This record gives sequence, C-alpha cells and structure tokens, in this order.
Amino acid sequence: MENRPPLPASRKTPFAKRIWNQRILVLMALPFFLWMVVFNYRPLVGWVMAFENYKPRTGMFGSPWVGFKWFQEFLGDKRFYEVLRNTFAMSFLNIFFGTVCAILLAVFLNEVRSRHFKKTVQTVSYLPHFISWVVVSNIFYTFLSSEGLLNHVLLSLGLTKEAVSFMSKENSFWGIVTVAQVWKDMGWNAILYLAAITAIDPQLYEAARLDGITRWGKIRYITIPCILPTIVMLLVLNIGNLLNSTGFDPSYLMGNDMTINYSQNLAVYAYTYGIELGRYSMSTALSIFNSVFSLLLVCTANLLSRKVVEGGIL
Amino acid sequence: MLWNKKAALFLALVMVLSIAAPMTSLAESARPVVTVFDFTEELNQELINKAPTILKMEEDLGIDLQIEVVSGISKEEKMATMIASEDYPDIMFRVDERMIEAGALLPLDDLLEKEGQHVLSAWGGSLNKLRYPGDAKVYWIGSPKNRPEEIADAGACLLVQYDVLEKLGYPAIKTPDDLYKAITDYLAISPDLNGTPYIPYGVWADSWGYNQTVNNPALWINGFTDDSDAYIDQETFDVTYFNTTDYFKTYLAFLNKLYNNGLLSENAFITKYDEFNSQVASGRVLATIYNAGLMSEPEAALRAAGMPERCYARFPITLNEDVKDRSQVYCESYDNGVGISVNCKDPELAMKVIDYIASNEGNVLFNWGIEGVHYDVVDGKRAWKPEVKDAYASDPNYRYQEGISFANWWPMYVGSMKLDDGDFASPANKEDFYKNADDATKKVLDAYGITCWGDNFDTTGTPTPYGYAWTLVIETGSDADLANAKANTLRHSMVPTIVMSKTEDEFNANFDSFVNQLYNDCKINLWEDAMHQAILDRMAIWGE
Repeated sequence: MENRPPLPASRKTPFAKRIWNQRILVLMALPFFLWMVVFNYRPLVGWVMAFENYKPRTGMFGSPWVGFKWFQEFLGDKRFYEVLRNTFAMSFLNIFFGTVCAILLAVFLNEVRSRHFKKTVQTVSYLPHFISWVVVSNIFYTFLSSEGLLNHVLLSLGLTKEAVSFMSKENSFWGIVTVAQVWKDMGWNAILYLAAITAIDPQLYEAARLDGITRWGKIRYITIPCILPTIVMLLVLNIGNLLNSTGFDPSYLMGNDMTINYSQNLAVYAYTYGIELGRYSMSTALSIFNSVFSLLLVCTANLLSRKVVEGGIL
Repeated sequence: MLWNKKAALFLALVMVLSIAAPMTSLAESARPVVTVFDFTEELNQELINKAPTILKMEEDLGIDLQIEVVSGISKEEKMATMIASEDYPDIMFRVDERMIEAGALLPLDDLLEKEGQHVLSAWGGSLNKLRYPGDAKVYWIGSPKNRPEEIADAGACLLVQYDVLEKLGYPAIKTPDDLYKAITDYLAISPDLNGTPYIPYGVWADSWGYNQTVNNPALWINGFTDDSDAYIDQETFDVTYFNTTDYFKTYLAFLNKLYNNGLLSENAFITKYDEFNSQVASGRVLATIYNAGLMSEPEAALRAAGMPERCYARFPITLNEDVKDRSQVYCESYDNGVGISVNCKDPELAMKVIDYIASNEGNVLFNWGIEGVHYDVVDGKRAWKPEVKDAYASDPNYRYQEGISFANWWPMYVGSMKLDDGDFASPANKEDFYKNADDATKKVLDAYGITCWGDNFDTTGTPTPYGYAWTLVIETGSDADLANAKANTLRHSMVPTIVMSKTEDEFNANFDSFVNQLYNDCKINLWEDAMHQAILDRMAIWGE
C-alpha cells in the first residue's frame, strides 16, 4: 500500500502505466466488459439483416441487399401508426398508474405498525408478479366473460340489464390491460420504494415529531422528498423502456380479434408480420426502430430529470 | 480426518457413478437413434413414445425412435424457430414448403428409388402431385389417397346434435333455413340443458377457427370444394379473395340473422379452440358447420360423460335445393407430409422408417394395431376387439396411448381403402363404421336409413384440375404473403362487426367497407395474382 503513488500524480503518468497501476481493478472489470461486448454489442452485427432480404438458406452474408425497403414498408403502413398509438397509450397508462400505485402502496405500508400485517400484505401484493401472463389473461377472461363473476354481480345487483362481454369491447381494452398490469406488478415495484424508504434517516422523523408534525405531513415533507431520486430514476428507466413497457405477452394474450385495433402493440406487430411470416429482416428493421427511438426517449427523459433531481440520473 | 476421508470416498463414488450412469444407458440403446418431430398440435408426446405400436416398429426396424411434438406454442412458431436455429431432427412430420424454402429438407427422389418401394407403389402416378413447384422434386410424403374412395365419415359439413333430430322427429335439414327452423323448434321444446343455456349455433373464430367456422361453411353452402380463401374461375383460373364475394356475404347474412335473433353469441368471435372443444364436450352446442374430423375428441368426451345423445349427425348443407353439395368431392392435392432433414446422418434408414409406415404392415399396425392385442381376424377380416372399440370411442387419449388410428397425416391410407390382402386398411371404413358405432349413433343412422355418415354425401361431383386451392404454395414472406396476412388480420377484426350489424343497411355498408379495405389497405390483389400464377405452375407440373 505504502509504495503506491498518490492519486493526483497518477493522472500525469502515461495511459499504459496507469492501466498497469490499476491492473487489479481492470482485471476485476474485464469479465463484465467482455460480457457486455458479447451479449450487448456483438448482436448488433445482426442489424445488417435489416438492410437485406434475409433468408435462412442464404444466411446473413449471402442474402441480397434491399436498402431501406423494410423501413419504408412499415413506415408506409397505416396499421403501423395504429400500433404505435396503442403501444404509447398502453405503456403510458402502465407507467403512470404502475408508478403511482406502487408508491402509494409503499408509503402506506410504511405507515403500518403491525409487522405481521405489513409482511403479509407485502407478500400477497407481490405474488402476482410471478404468475405467468397466460394464467393472468385466463383469469381476466374468465372473470370478465359474459358468464363470468363480474357480470354475475352486476346483473344480480341490477346495475346492468344484460351480460356485457367486456373482453370483446375495444374501448375497454386499454383499461383492462392497465388494471391487469398494475395488479400484477404493483407489489413487486413497491419493493424498491420500500427499500428507499428504509434508507431514510430516522432522525428526520424524530425531529419532525418533536416539532409536532401530522402523519400526512410526515409523508408529504419527509418520505416523498426523500425517495424522489429513486422515483425519478425508475421513471427515466421506464420511459426509456416506453415502447416495450407493455410487452408481447399482455397484448398478445389478452387481445383478441374483436379488440385487435386497440390491443396490437409493436411487439405483436413485429411478430405477426415479421417472425410468423419468416420475414426476419422486417423484424430486425422494427427492432432497430425500437432501439433508436428508446435511446432518444431515455436521453430526453434524463435531460428533463435534471430539472427535478440535481445532476440527472445517467 | 477419518470423516474427511469417508466423505472424499463417498464423493468420488458419486462422481464415478454419475459418469457411469449415462454410459450404461448408452449401452442399453445400442440401436441407432432416429429423432422425429411431429408438427401436430394435438399429439400427446408422453403417450406416443410409449405406444405399443411404436415400440413394435422400433423392434421390427431395429431402431430407437425419439418422437417430439409441438407443445406450448403453435406449429407456425415452432417451425419458424426451428428454421432460425437450423436444429432439425432426422424425420419431420407435417412439414410444408417453408421447410423446403429454408433448405431444411433432402430431396427424396433417389432415396425413394433405393429404400421406398412401398411408398412408390402406394403413390403410383400421384407422386407428381407431391413435386415442389420450385424444382419439381419430392421433399415430403403425405397420406396417399390415390384411389377413388367411398367415405365412411364426412369431413367438413353440417353437424346437428342427435337429440335435436330425435326431438323433432328426424327432419331433413338441407338448407340454412331448415337449420334455422330446426334450432328454433328445438329451443321451443327444450330451452336449456339442466339450467345452462344452449349455444344454439357453434362458431369459434379465433385464429384458424375463422377458416373452419366462418370462411369454409360459406364454401360448402355455395357448392364449392375446399378452395379456402380463394374463389376461382374454373375457365380462366382467375382468383378472387373469397371473402370479397357475394357467396361469402350470403353466409354472413345467415350469421347476422342468427345473431339478431339471439342464436349466436358475440363471444363466438373470441372463442378459442380449447374453449370451443369444452363447449362441445359440455353438450351445449346444438349445431355447427364444422370439420367433423375435429369433433372426434370432444365427441369421445361426450360419450365418456354419458351424453352420447349430444354427439353429432353429419349432413350436407347448401343454400337452396338448386345448389349441389360438393363438400366431400375429393380433389387430390397435398400441402404437407413427412420429410427427411438435411441434418439426418443416415437418410436411408430414415427412408426405411417412412417406407415401413407406407407398407401394408405399417398400415395395419398404425390403423388397426397389433393382432391379438387390438384386433382379431374374424372370417378373414380384421375387426377391433370390443374393448378397443369402446375405449377408442370414449377415451380421447386412448388413440395416443395405444398408437392406433391417431395419425391420419402419416404416409398411410385412411378411410375406406383396401390393402393387397383385399381387406380394409383402416377401421374407419364403410363396412366397419356401423359395427363400431355406439347405440345412439346407430339409432340416428337407422332413422335416416343409412349405415354411415358418408352415405349422406355425393362424392361424385367434378373435382378441380388444380386440387384444393388451400394446398397451393405462395412464397413465404413475399408481398403476396404479407397481403394475405394483413387481410387475415382485417377479416378477423371486421367480420364480427359485419355479423353484428343491427340493420340490413348497416350490414351492407360494413361489408362494402370491408371489401374496400381489403383491396386498398391490404393490397389483396397481389395475393390474387400470386395464387393465379401458382395454379398455372401447379397444373404445368402435374401435366394433365
């Protein structure tokens, strides 16, 4: 330890020497660097497929070039814009209600005194996260079908005159899918906020209590401001993921022929007109669009976040 | 220390054993392994691998078959992912032109000369009809139907519950109007099934159910053969997207009438395959125009549940008495079969397996089963044992468990065809149909004075020179293919709206808008042109 030169001096040493001096750290970072290259950068080579008419038989190096044909195709397709609208709408609803509900759940749970009750609620609320979408969609279909529980209740209370087939109403699809997503992931997302809340210095609360603060005041002036950086960070990451936020599963499994104009999202579009028809190039082109768009979104969100949290997140 | 030594010894032993275990299991299966994949969604992998008939084939050929089937995902997805990974097993059942385009299949022409004598003799001159239009080679082999056949059971047709017929005194149901009357008359007598409302007319329009229960019924009532999505001018072979024609509109008008009179639920358009099967198996579906072949499992479930009177009689149905039913007219053509992959190490052995299935022996084995176990020879004719007959009719899994009459897509005969010994190749033949039928079925057959459902149908109508249009090949991923995919999405979402129109004006306006979008947004004309070309190409290869 005592032989190592002080840090400021190392800045003036040449690059190679600096690496040598920090060889242990570099070595430690190397596996992760390689991991990132192999799994995150190497697949980008596949992007060339988006500019050719890829066929498995001729492979990536033998398929003919087609330029921007695939991009032109989906940008010129009327349905694509419908799909984009659905993707944005569903993702926005999901992020907004998902975040708000998770924060509320975390904050309220934090106020609960009974440890057992708190643990039970927490476990019960995050369990749905582990249920597969196939099961979730079946639960919703059964629950909302015209012979399902909800219709039964509505009919017996006399609130509706005849059974409504909720799953076949295109206007209600975004709502249903948002409820399903919030139900499924609210508890899971709340864990992060709960963790952030436990990191708050208890002295703050104690000081506030001495000043005679109300419970609401405690939430409003201590809890929320203290977890704000966490909230903003998760929001920025979520916005970067806006196009994928409502993934393939909910849209594909909960959607059906009668709601398809409102249920189809980008992932399903890429699947239906790409993979399923063996048009891998088209799927690749869509995924490039998706990646570039997401990158722009995440940068914009980060810029905006600087206004809320000092220094931004990324 | 001592403990450590013991532990070390124990660990060493475990390691040795764990290495030795797979080696001994390798030694056991000294027979060459042939990997098989069957792209059939209803097959039961666990049962079929242990089926006695499969074991017998393994014994006879000295091989070890490892059969895998599609599960969890659709056939299309599995095929696409398999192509993307290029991880093909030796033999693949139910492959189509996508595998050929991907370069996954070996051409079989030379192999057939060497090891495929039974296949060649079963197919005869029909082998031409298997040739891929791209290079005129044979890549896969389907189930041969190259002899004129008398049908024992129908394919797609009108299905009406026995109980409906019995309560109404076995009326003649020939047209949609007759059907409408029968359903309403029956509902007047019997408004529900033990408190649960009936589903008067069965439709499931999710994914491929659209073709089965919406598109195809419109073909049958207009007297067409199974040209699926195409309406084809029989002189010029010009193709029109069938859903744009007035023929199709007529059927939608019938569905519209059912809907507006509360006989068709809007749920029908989001019903999935398994959901529909369970609706049928609960006995609630009174009638439907559907593929009778797809009914065999839910019907077995109905019999097992003690409701044999809820099974279905098969009838032809046409718009009016002037239209001649051609639903069962056989237009020989094929769109899938069994092929050998380019990854296969021993293609000749793989061909031996296929040839075995096509032989007389294979036909008997996989249709009838094993002599003494599943069937006996009575008066020189094969006959299923009574317990086999009953189990087959009432247990949906029995066919896979025993490996008998479960795979009508394998390269063997199905239906009323005869083997070289002069006896039928399969129990699903005209003579055995009545013998193998249950009492409820016999009662209905007797009432209509027939011995099998096939008697209700005229199979002598004119076949088309190009076979069935649904077997035609369009290049995967081409613009025409994309147009068809888009049209498919559109019709799935718009046809329910058309059917649920409240007034005639609304119905007409919705239909016009549908046709308009098919041509302007989906560019379905690209598909029409490609299909026209495909017909011409096929007729050139078949060489009339």
